[in-house]
Amino acid sequence: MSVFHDEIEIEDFEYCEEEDLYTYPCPCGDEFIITREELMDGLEEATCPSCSLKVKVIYNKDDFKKEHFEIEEKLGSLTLKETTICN
Amino acid sequence: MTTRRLYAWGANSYSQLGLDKKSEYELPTEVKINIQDIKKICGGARHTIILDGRGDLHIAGKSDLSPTEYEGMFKKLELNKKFKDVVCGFDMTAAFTDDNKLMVWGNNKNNQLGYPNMSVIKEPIELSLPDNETAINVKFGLKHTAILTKSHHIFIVGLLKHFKNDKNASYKEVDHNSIEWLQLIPNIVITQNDITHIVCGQNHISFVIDRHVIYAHGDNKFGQCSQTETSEKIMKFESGWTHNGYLTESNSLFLYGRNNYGQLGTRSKVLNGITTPQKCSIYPVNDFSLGAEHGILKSGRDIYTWGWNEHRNCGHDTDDDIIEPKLLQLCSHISEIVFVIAGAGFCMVLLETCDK
Repeated sequence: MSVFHDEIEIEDFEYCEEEDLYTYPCPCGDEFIITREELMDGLEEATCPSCSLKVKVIYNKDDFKKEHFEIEEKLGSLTLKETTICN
Repeated sequence: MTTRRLYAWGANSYSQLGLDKKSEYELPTEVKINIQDIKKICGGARHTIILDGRGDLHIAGKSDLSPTEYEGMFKKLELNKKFKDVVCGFDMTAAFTDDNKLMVWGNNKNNQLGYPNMSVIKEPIELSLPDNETAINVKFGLKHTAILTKSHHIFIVGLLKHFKNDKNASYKEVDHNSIEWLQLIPNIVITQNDITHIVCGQNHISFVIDRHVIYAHGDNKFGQCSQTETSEKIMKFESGWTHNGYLTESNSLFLYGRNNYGQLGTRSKVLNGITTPQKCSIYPVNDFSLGAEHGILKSGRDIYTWGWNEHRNCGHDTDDDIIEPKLLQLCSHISEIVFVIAGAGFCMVLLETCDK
């Protein structure tokens, strides 16, 4: 079982649109990172690339699951349209 | 003949030590500098700033200033201003000019530098305070800034939820520069010169009244917001991310707050914090400084470090946490230790050596 350096609410993370991930400062000077995809998969561990510390991300999994389904739905409808066009 | 030498060690991913290899320095390493008359050294997380006797600032590490990147060795900031004090946060900087203006720059994603709609402030900008008040002290938390004014008011700006969630604190909400500020309403009457020290941790602020009474507000997960009264005068007050320390007039150091990495130097680790200030085993202590999760102190001509040590930020030949202050093997011929400084994950020492 992971020992977390801290538990941080997702709203305290900064969202980087370019890389589609969330970051929070690490005591070493680098930052804890979790991707939006990991959040949509229900993961809750943000890790620092420079050290062994990790934080538990506190968030409502349903918010990201909903987003996950919405994306899947959109992709589904796109595939459907493409199929229609091809036909 | 004496020579002043600057030594640094610990995390250096951003060249914040002023040393060129962009990775941690495991042992104290001399930093080559060409700065005369160093008045102050201030460690952030990714940058370090030196204030010299002429009022110029010199920076090493990652800077949000444009257009120049200041990675590598210490370089002078060309700002056309002279400064008399400087304060570094994780990735923010504040500096008082010689005509008492408070200039700020760096990360502003949470509006912690007092302006809206700018994620980064790339040029020093004067911090304007509500009611045109004048700042006399400023400290940075991780995502907030606390400012003490000439009128003895404390303003907080930036990420405010940890303060709003503190049921023991009262604040006046102030709209200034189109963003929300909190003006602390202390539950005691504060008169002139009463607030002698103010510090910020990760998500808390703490201040000392009349050198004896410590008040604190914000996140208290690890006992970092403990309020206490000391019999002796407090001469210096500092905060790590979640632990605090104060030095008394008889040179005793007391530490309290989080202790999971040995931050309090009590020879033990605990998951929950310690709310009662713990007297440091080293005596006398002449000066000290706290990093995010570690600490450094000066006792005569000796230096001790303790706490979180993953990046060798304690400077010893191990990366295990140091659970009690441990004597640092630095160099021989030390005639005086001028400053001991902790940044988030590193340490620096300015000392004088007797050269034969």
